Amino acid sequence: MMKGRSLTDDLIVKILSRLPARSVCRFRCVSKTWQNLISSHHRKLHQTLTEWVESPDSNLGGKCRGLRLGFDPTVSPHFFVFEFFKDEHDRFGVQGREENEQGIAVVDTQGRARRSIPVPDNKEGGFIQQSQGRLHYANFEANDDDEVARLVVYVLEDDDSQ
Amino acid sequence: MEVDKGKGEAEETRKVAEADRDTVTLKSSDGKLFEVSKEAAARLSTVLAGMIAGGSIDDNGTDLKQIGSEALENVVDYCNKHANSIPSAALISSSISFNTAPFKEPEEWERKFVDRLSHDALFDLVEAANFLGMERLLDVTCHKISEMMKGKSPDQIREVFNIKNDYTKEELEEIRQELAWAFYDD
Repeated sequence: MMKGRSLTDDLIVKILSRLPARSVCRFRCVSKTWQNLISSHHRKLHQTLTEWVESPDSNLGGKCRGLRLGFDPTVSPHFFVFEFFKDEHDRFGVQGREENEQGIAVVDTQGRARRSIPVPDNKEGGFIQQSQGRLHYANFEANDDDEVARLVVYVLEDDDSQ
Repeated sequence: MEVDKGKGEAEETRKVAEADRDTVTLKSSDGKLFEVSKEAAARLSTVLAGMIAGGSIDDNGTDLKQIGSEALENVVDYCNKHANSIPSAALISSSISFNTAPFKEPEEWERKFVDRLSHDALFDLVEAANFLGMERLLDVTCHKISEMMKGKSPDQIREVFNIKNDYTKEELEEIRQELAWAFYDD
């Protein structure tokens, strides 16, 4: 059996940032020091730790085919992002939502605290990605001939302030 | 660069090195001397680059009291053998401030370089790379350690990193329940 070797906190964080979310979360059980380390560096670990998972559709009336959740397990077990969606024939029946509305719905695992953040340009066909710990919304802007003119990218600066 | 491998090899190496001034001599904590290409050292290590630029390099062996001879040998080996294929430390750190540079997977030779190391030697090398500001070597060694950690249980991790479990039984049970999903296989 190999002999254990301790490393400084900054090296531990660097190493953890290379691991999948599941491993990092499991290692919160290693010690209180590691738990604190992981919690306090969640921004650094953020990119690795955001996972897309299936929706717990029992909370959502089974209408949510294709809907997914993102969450940051180092911060809390609460899911905080619903995938961008648009309503054509399949309505994503998140409670309190208008039809034909596009945006990001925010909800936690208990299905409470839902709210929606509309997309900036109110057009169809955009997509949402997460990068550098922030949500980005991108869509193509068309010119008069309906040709794609340019790619527009918006950044959701702070989830709580919107 | 090749140096004469004649009689009195070590002496000869030192003389040639000092005359050429294209190597620097580094001294490990246990007093062993190592020659490293000055150009490579300056490109790969922000700390050595600073020492070279600041004139604080000692021709009789610049003291690196924090680094043991095995780790320093690995550092020097990494610099001397592979300097040409590695981007400079300055380039890497400027991209880090932009904060989008993704970690570039270890190349084949880098993988081999760390794979042959014992557990202790790897941990020594990660500390040496950190101390010397060798961003790429630090990345590669951290990557290797993270690969060793994948799929391991908290118990095994405590062993690897010599960590004392400071949770009470109740606290541990609580956090385990909260994180139950994380205990499936990776």
